[in-house]
Amino acid sequence: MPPRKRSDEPQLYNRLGLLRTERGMSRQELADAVGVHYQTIGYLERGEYSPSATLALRLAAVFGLPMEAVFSLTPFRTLSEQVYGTQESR
Amino acid sequence: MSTPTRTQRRAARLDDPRYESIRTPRIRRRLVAGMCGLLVAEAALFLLAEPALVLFAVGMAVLLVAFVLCLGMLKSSTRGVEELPADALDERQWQLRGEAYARAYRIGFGLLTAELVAVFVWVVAGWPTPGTGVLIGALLLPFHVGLVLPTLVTAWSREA
Repeated sequence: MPPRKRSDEPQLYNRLGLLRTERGMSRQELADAVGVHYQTIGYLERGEYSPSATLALRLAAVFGLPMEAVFSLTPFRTLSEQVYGTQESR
Repeated sequence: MSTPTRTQRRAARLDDPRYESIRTPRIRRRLVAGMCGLLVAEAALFLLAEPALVLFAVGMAVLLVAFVLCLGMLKSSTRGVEELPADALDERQWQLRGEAYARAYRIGFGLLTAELVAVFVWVVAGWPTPGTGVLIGALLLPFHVGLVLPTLVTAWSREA
């Protein structure tokens, strides 16, 4: 069972799965890079576990991105929407 | 490369991918049911301690082996989250362990209260004093339940 969230805790969205796949990393490799169990990466990617600020910063650092590019309190726009949607509006 | 510590070796053994097949929720719950069955069998054996001492001794020896095997499988199925020290766990596992112990505490508290009520009722009702076997069982069983309860709770509640 993933640790339960408190009912008032907001959903934390992330792009971990996308970024990991983009960089061709396995869950185990990402887990080793940030010092957690590989299962925890799965829970994070599925949004079933919200990381501590320290872990979130470590994960963002692995991808060389600011934390807000990896985690958000609002859903991320899809890649196609972000790429093509922006181009269409220009 | 430094030699792994005892804790690291234990953590690696409990996280062995060869035991992945027993880490499904269904198998874990079966193991929990099996361990509960062993505890019930142990309780029944204590009733036989005085009338059939040999049967009791043989039964306890068999139970001990089954108990060790079952507990080992249970611990492997939970990757030892309830047992390993903080430095062998990540933050999610640490949180999971905290929740399992909180739930185990509530269940254990309920069981001990029930036992205390049973003893109280027994004394107040003036029923005859039970035999030595039952008395030893009444002391040993809560100890055994206390030993395995965090593992049982973790195995019962965790999803793969």
